Amino acid sequence: MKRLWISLGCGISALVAVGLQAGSGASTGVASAEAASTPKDSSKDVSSNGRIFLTNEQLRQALKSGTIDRPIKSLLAVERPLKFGDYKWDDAAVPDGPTWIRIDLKSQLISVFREGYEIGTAVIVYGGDNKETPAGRLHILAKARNHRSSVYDAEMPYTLRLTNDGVSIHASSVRWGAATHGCIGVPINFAERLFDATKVGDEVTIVPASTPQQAS
Amino acid sequence: MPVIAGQMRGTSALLNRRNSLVAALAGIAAAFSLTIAADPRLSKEVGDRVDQAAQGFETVAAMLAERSPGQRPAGALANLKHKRSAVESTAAPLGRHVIPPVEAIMGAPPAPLIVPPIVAAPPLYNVAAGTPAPILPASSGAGGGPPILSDIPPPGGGGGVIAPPPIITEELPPPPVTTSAVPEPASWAMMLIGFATMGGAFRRHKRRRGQPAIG
Repeated sequence: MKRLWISLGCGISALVAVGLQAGSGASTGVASAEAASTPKDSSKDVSSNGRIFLTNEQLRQALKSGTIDRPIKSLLAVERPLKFGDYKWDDAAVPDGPTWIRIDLKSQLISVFREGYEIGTAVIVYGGDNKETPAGRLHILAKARNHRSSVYDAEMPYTLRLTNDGVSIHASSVRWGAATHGCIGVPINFAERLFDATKVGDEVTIVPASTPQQAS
Repeated sequence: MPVIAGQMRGTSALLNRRNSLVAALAGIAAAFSLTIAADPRLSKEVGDRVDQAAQGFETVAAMLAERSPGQRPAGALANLKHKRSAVESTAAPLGRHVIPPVEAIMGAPPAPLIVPPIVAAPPLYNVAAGTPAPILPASSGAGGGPPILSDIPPPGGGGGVIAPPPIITEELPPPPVTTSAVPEPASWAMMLIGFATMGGAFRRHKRRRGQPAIG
């Protein structure tokens, strides 16, 4: 009887562990264009169009901590953690202006800002352990809507080239556990919108997965 | 006396059952706490909450972290697409790539060098006629006029078509992959349930086989 209880306990704990892992984003979600945008925290200033406008204190803290390297005005309200393949895009009523892309390798997220307003965000896949994605401030060097890699014999639609050795942002199969050879892969529907929203010369900031202090 | 012995037996059975229950619950709690400790996102969330409490507002980093699917597990290289094999690559040697138009990278290419056709210079004197032929117009300064030899570069250099630098795309393509090398969590869960069911069935079978037949 005792052994049965213990085995039952172990089985339940294993299921709990697997369930938690799945809940933390380990599932392959189908791309959903619009994530739920209802605010869950009353301290956030969310307007009716699903945006969180930053206060001066929040902006000052973000600049000071290095989370962002330039002032921004608002973030998209995303209620729940995005799954692999999910993205959100909302550029309604956002004025024209300079576009800036922020890519955070640690949180596996890309954020697109126009005139300081976030207009899109998605989950990404990035370079593997021996094919690291370069970090820092880059620019879009070239755009290719229908690009095919002859090295890997594969389609890479909506390519935004970032470096001369081929590192780019392009549409990819964004799924849990995947890694790239250095590029940044985004869901194809998001990639199409991103391609249309950017131009050659726009800035891209890639935040590394680990700081030098953490790496050492 | 038998009553006391029966009571003692009942108490010890109850204690054994309670111990088993406590052991099972302790196992669940330990697994749960280990899972939380091993998940960097949960640990980070706790840290962010503490930071927010100190700041009095939710930070931008915390807001971005809330939408994150979490940090990538180490060694996530199982699904990388491999380079083309050497046999395949002979058709398209390394360095030759079909990508972006040259204009997109380097702007409009300069006009190719146009070499005028070599024109035989007329003789200075028309021997047959005995009259001097018209002398070519003299050019002032250093040189000028159309070059005579095609292999002499024009003054100032330049010209020619600049080939774009070889661009190596090192990237995972978006293939329509239907199967994954790493089992999904749902597959793991189903496998665990299957093993548990098999184990339970074996135990039950063994126990029943050991018992005498009824009736």
